[in-house]
Amino acid sequence: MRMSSTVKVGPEELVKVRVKVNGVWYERYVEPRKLLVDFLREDLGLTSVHIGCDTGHCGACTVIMNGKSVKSCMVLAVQADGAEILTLEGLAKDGKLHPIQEAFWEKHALQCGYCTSGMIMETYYLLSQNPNPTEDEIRRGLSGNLCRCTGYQNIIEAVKLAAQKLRG
Amino acid sequence: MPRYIGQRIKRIEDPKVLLGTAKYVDDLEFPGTLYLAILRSPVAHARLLKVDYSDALKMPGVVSVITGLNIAVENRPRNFPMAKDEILYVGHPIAAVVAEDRYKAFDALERIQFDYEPLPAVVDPEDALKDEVKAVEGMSNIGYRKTYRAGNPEDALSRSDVVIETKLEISRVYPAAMEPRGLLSVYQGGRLTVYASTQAPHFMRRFLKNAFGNLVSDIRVVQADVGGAFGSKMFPYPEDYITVYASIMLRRPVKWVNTRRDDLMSTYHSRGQIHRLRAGFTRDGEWRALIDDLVIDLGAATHGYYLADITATLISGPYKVRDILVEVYGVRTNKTPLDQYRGAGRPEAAFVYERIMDIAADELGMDPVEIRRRNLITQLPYTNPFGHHYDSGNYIKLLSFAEQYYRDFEKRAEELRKQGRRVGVGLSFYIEQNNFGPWESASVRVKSDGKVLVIIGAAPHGQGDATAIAQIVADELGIDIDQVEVSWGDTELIGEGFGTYGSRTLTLAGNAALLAARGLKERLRVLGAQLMGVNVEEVDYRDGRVVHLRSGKSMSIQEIANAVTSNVGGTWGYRAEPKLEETAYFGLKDYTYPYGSHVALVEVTEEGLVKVLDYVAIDDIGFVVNPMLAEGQVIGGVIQGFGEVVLEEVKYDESGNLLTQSFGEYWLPSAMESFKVKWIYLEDGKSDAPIPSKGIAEGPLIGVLPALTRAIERAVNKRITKIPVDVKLLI
Repeated sequence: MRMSSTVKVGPEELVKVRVKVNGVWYERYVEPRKLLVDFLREDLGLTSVHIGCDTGHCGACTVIMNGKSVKSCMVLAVQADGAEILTLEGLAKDGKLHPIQEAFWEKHALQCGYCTSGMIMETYYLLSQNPNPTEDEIRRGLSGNLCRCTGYQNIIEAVKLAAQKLRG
Repeated sequence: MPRYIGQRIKRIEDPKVLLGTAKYVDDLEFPGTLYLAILRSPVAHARLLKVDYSDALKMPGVVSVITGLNIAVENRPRNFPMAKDEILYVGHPIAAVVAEDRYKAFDALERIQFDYEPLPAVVDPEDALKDEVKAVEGMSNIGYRKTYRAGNPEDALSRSDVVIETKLEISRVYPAAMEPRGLLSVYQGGRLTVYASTQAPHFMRRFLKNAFGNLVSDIRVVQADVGGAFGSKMFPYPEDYITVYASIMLRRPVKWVNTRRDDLMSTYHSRGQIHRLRAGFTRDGEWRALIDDLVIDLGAATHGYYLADITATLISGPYKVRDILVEVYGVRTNKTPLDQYRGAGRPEAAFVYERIMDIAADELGMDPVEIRRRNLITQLPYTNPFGHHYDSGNYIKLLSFAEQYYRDFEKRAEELRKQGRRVGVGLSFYIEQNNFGPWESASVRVKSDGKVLVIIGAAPHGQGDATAIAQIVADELGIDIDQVEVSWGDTELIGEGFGTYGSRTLTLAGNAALLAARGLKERLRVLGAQLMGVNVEEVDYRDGRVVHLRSGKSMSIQEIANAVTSNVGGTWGYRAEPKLEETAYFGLKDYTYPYGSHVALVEVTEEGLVKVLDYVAIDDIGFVVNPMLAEGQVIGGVIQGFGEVVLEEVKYDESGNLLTQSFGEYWLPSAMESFKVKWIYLEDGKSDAPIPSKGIAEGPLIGVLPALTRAIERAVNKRITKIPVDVKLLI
């Protein structure tokens, strides 16, 4: 993450942000106070990134930024300047579901679907760090992502299945 | 043989969600959409003297400010949807800013000034009963009063050997759908299209039309994808009226979406009941009488009163006791108004009758299973003391089934206790009332490519009903399920309908779809015969084909659809009515009453954490169309119930300040607290419907509260009379 410490701008002055999202470079001018989640949703139209709490508790807005999962409501768009970001829209390749998406489908790991994008992105991060997590590690890994519908059981099963699929 | 019904079929709803292409209301945009933000009261009770928004209007990007909007809506206060002269709770809308974007709208809120004169706040519902300090000026605090009396409870109580006297409390909770409430109201040439996070679009159209029918020629409501509701996205809210009003006045699309903080203070809270009761038992454990004062904390509006009616009339649960008095007091307080949340009155009832059972078992030195067996209703159908007709099933059988798990859990608890661990087991038996009516609609259409589109009047929002209904229709038509699509949620897609609430959708909309599919089959038969030039009496419908038995000629659905939709610009030579659609309506003559039992094995750690070591839910919900979906409802409901027993409570201080304004203060269960739930279903008690299902969405939240409470009580060996359980009892 690159943070420019010397730029002085008023709240109304726009700042240039360049980001690579789902493999494509974008350049936009944004208010310095604009949150990354609003930038992704409003400026880039990536509405899989959901707003569930505005306070960093729920994880519905989780995306991958430079290889790490972040809650995009806790990051300013200007902080993402130069970063590479992956959202749920970028996960499927050529219309084929990613193994994590397949696993969520097979295990009935979603109901209303509002937390699902964040859950899948957090799972993506978790499995990139730990390809063979124990159940306890999965629970810890997902503890920052809230789901009100599923009770997590099928999500945990889906993560196990996804890990298995990804290991081949 | 059905191919799909009864099977764990993967959801047809999922791909768009998995790909990130679902569209919740905040994901929808129209060119020129304005954003509305609401200034909410930070004080619980005050006279509102003056609102000055002149500075806000001067800000660039601000289009309008709305204040003082009052609309008469049943069981809402005069100051609805906005405070005009009296502020009634923290969160009460005072003004709304409409601006070019949400950042500007929220900036402008900070420039609005308002003068108020504080009034004392009514916070404690039992204090409210005294009616000394008023929650709403000039009105009694008793907003609702009802007496439910059956038999002779005073006499039965006086003749009881043992009388249990206790106060039970079910705290206020917040439904906490992951998607906050929101609305996009689009005005076009005198007509309005409202995209909403709702669970009942047709119902919403009705209440908006009542308020704004003189300002617009028509209102179409379209349900966006909905990120959970749990009952909380059905009844009219202030913001619905404010947003729609703004779009009509400005003739522009206007969007409002709650922040989580706004949602915590404005989405109707639920539960909020206190019971002061006396329950009489014979020495051998027969429950003879109940006298209960039920106080329900309605908040600043009275529309949640019916929840106390549901609780009161089901207060005897699955038990035979018939001498009952419930005095219902619905009190106004200076809090967010109260309304339904998953279970709606039945979880409160189950908490009360099952606490009574467990406390009585302790007082009488009886086994908790035995005391239940002693009191369970054995003959069905059964009319309970307040007129509920429990329809079908076998309660004793299900209890005996649950007992095996209870005994096993008890054995394991005993082992663990020997190791010095604080472990307890709880069992609940509950009864549900569902299929809230009156009816639901469904249309089944064949499209030109032969695909079948089912449209339902119900409005599911995560439950997976579309999949279950596709299973029903695919089986009825004898076609592959991937040939069936299910659509819903638009008041212009289907004539009339109600919505998804009260565990009704599969039974009512599912059976309507079944009847419509049957009608469609007949239609296809007639049309196929006409197209083949044969006698209709000589053709059969078989697995997606109309077959002429004698000649062996046949036509598939696709061929029939193609025959009537091709030849554009040609003549209508075959003269057969090309109708490829049937609509049906289905309702039941009465509610249905599923039942079940939950068994929990719980440890309370030294630090006071509640860990569920094992959990089983056993339900009889009639015929199960898709066990994977039903199980998903149960698992999710049980974890929600864990939240209600252990973590979740809407808290106010003594001045009526809302203390739970983020998920940092209002704690939802996370993956760390969740646990494995095993679900078992019996299919003894079927409904009268052609697909004899009953419904499951709310049942788990009814069964879980008393089971977990009891298990914790046994683990810490201290009586529990309030949920969420006081942390002091755990350490």
